[in-house]
Amino acid sequence: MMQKRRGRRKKRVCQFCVDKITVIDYKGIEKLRRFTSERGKILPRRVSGNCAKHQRAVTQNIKRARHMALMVYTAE
Amino acid sequence: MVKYEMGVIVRADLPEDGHAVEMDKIKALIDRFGGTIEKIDEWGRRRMAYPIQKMSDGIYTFITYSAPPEAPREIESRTRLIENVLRFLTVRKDEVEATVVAPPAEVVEASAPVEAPEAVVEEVAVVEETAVEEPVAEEVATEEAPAEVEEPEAKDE
Repeated sequence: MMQKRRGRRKKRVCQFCVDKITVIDYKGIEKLRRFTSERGKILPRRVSGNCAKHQRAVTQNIKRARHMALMVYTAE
Repeated sequence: MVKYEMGVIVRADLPEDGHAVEMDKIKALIDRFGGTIEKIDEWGRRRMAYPIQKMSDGIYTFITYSAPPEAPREIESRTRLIENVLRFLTVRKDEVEATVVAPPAEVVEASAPVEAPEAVVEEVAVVEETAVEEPVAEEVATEEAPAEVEEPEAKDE
């Protein structure tokens, strides 16, 4: 379609909106881990595809999980 | 009264009942500031994602309680003084709890009448089954996300 974009751009929808998940809990680290890179950085919205509302919730809860040593601040 | 959830990490190298002693202190604090303990979720000993005070393991406990809004501040400031508590975090839980209950109920209603039209007892069984299966299916569905997610990530760095 658009020449500027390399390859086909996948249409991304916020997974939380699709699944109608309203609760994001810092204790559910398996779910949160998907939104971090291997180094433990929080993925940006443009990569994760989350909507603003859920990205905010994810970010908040990843930070909580980090505080409680459930997730890493940084790997290496 | 507001509902709060307090997560506590106690050091794992205490003598046998050391953990219970520390938890009793916290429970006493909650009680002292007008809180009512509703649920205690023990995760037990767990490897921490990074060492805290040179310790790699901690005993995790999550206490759900309801208390007046000024209580958590008092409880936290006093918890901070307990040396064997490595970390703690209080989170408001009331609105979270309300939303937790809603979505699964919808799912149950949709599937139950179709599958179990006969006995009431059976219906209950089916309801329970679907409730248990649901999160698994959910996870599978969302698991596709990371694959997509990782590709562009590599480009970034």
